[in-house]
Amino acid sequence: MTIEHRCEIAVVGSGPGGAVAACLLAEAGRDVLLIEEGSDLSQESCGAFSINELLQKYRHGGATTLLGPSKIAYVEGCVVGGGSEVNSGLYHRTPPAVLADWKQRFRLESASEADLAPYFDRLERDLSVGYWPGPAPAVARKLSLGASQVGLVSREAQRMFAYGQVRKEAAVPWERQSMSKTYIPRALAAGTALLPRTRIASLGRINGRWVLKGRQADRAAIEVQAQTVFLACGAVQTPALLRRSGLSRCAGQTLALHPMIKVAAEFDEPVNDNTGVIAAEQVKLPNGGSLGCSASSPSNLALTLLDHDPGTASRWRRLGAYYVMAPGGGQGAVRLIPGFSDPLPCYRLSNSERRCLAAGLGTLCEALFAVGARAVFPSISGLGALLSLNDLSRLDVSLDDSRLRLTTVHLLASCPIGETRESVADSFGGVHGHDGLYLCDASSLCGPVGVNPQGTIMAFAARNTMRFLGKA
Amino acid sequence: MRWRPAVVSALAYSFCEEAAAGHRDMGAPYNDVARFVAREEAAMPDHLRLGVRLATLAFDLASIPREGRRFHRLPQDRRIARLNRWRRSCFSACRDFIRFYQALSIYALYSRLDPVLSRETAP
Repeated sequence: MTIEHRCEIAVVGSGPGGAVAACLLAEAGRDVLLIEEGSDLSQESCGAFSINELLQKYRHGGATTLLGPSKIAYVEGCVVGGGSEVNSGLYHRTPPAVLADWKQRFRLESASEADLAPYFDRLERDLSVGYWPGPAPAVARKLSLGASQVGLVSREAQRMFAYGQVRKEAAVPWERQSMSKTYIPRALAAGTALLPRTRIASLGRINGRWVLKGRQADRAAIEVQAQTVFLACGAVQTPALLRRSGLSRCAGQTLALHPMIKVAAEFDEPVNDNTGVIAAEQVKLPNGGSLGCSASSPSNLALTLLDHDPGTASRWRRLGAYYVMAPGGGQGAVRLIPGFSDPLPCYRLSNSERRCLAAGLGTLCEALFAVGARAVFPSISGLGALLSLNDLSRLDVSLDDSRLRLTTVHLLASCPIGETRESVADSFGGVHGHDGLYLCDASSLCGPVGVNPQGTIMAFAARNTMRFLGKA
Repeated sequence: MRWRPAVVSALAYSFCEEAAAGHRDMGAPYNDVARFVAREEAAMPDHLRLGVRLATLAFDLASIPREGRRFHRLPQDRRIARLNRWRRSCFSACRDFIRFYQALSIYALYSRLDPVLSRETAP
């Protein structure tokens, strides 16, 4: 038996893009069905960055890898609220230089800094974007001081946190403003119907309506009929759905990301209070890369130390985890393999990314040694611990693809919007050649952002949705 | 016990005993780690899962010519020797196979030291 639904607008995916679109559409009086593959779980259903979070809220339990010369581990949220439920809540506006680049390369219309400013202003109010009011954690202070010792400046990123709004008896008065705390409750209050644990496998146009076919978690078949569809399944699943449905040959021909390499540093004194924080200190490098703090729980440290001695993680109170991030620029794609249902994302690092990571690693190690690190452990196979500045020369010969242990949490731009032949959709997300089909997620960005992309994804989703509603 | 859970459990126990190194919070039994590794393997994308399962079978059988028994039936010292052989293999697929199971096992083992954090206690 097939479960059938009819609605005016189906939004597929409830992450930052889909949640914003569903909310704005419902508040404009439209009949919206929000479909999500993951479960409907509260933020409090498991600990932050815990093993249970991995099992409950990540696609494929987090066991996902981009194939290529360097295998890059990546993670995606798969829960109502998407990636916003599992990330660190850091917020950036799109850098103006990135918008200018997109305008030039994709002839993107109405996407200047000034065009997007009203959407960012609104987001920042809705998400309580601001700086952490307390003192920075010790791992962040080490990075900040170390950066200044090597002539760089560290800055704190803003967060999507509400301060002082949780109950009085809570130990700490703040709450992360993920989609399940903000736009999804608003969408539901405005009449949106939510359909969790439902995977859409294909969509097609029949008699002037979109027909979405899929299955629910209990294997029941489902069919949704809608006049309009907004796709927000993320940079891997959106192009896979378009390709599987025969709707776009360009979808998935590109894929951008921000490759990261993790580094653990051991100090003589305790630096890790392990409160679950990912400290928000970030250092911008002259080559476009950046340095920052990473999750420093014992389990995450053990993974970072896998190519050294994972047992070092038992001294986790004296260890901090950091990262070097390159701004993107390699070549990626999302492919389908006949006979398999899951898409296969691939990526090849560019030489500029390799150089950026190498230079960033050197700078980060210098900064950490300058503030008293006794050993630094980059995630590079066969490198060994770096014990002094003299050991930095070993970094130069170790950056071949097969030895780098890279990760990423930002996958983007697999269905870029714009007005060129390479664009999958027009400047406002309308998929070329298909009426009533829109993109509003990370896939629709034109390239890497160089900073945490959630703010950019949400601003473009709001802009595209308001344009659809005739309000922009 | 069916062969795949038995091999996954043997791998998880081997990596945990290697990494625990007398740490008092890291002692056996490692059934929690083995269960986590099995769940993660089952949750992988289908194309990767097929490759991992075939590699797991190959790894289990590969000890027969030299040891006379499948990997999951070997004593711990011989298991470690087999792991080290694949770790140092000239084939990257063998090294990646070992790294995959080691990463999951070590992550689950050290998560025993993670405090229980709710989203409200961060940062």
